[in-house]
Amino acid sequence: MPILVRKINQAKWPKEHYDKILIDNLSADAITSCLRTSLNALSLWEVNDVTRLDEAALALVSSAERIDTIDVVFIENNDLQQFNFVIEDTLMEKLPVVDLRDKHKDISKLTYKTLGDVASVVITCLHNNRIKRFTRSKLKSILRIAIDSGRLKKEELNKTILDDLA
Amino acid sequence: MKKDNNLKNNIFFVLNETPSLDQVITEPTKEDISISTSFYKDENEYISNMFSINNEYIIKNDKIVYVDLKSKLINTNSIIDTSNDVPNFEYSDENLTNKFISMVNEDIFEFGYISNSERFINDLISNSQFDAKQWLESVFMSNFDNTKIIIGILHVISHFKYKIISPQGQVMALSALIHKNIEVRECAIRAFENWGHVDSLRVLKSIKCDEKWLFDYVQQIISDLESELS
Repeated sequence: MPILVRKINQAKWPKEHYDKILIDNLSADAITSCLRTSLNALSLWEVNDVTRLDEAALALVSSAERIDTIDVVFIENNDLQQFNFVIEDTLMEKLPVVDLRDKHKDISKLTYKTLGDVASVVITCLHNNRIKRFTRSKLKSILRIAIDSGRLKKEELNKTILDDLA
Repeated sequence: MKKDNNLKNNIFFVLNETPSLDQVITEPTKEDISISTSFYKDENEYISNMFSINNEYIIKNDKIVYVDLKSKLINTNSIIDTSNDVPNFEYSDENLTNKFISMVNEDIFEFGYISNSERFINDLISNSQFDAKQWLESVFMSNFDNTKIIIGILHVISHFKYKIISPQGQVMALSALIHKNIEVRECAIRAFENWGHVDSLRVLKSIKCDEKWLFDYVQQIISDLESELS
């Protein structure tokens, strides 16, 4: 079953008592830092299942400027059912990993209210421990595997990333 | 390229590329206009490069000074003498600090991306005539109770190579490990992770983490570094 993956900064989110959290009381930083929209849309990556999270990490790190440890939450279909999110396919044409370009999705037409709903979804993920941290070392390994298998050309990576891989 | 052979002991700079006039004469915007620039002293003594136009700082006689670059950059690809512009110059560490603090407050620090603050500090550190690390450490200590500032500084210093930011970088990160704010502590741990040095391993093996997620993270970094450094 496909799942949607979103990068967040774990430090900005609650760590416990998720079932008691009121979204209205969620820290503003969690929303403004981790759920930053562009043209009222929030970027996500779709992967086939929870065993394929590395694919989302590859998409994120290959399009980044440098390799930093990142956290991702993975959202299941059940999490979204109670909300009427508009989820659109948005091709990421400039992604260095060509076969992942069509895996990019947007939750679009977001509003103040529905962004709060997205935050609720993130809280649900955290409550169910659907979060994974990819350390720098792991991300380097993911990149190297992609390069060695021909999925990714080194020259399409940011110079800082290349220096890190060297 | 025009040269004035009468220029002695002056700082002047040459634009390595040609900006559009719109870039240099319009009002500054939030976007960073970065134009490769070389700074020379006495024609031949190359002292710095890669100052972003928006920074508006150049080095003159070992001091950071502020100068309105906009008025200087109408002629491109020419050497522009600043020696006669003393009335326009201000020397002030306080100005530099205030500018940096404002920058950090407005900046976005996203893991995986280079912030404007990082570019700013990179420019300062690249200039050997200014002790940027000492200055940065003093800013850090003065703002230890301001989590936004010290998280920003930790974010920035974590992206420099270990030796380049040493020893002040490591001192700042070490002190941040005892901060009551968990995000500050995590940023300090990230710095040691990014540095990937044997000293990082020594520190990470010696710290205490009460939060399970942070403890797990530290253990993973220790495992990663032990593999990488073996």
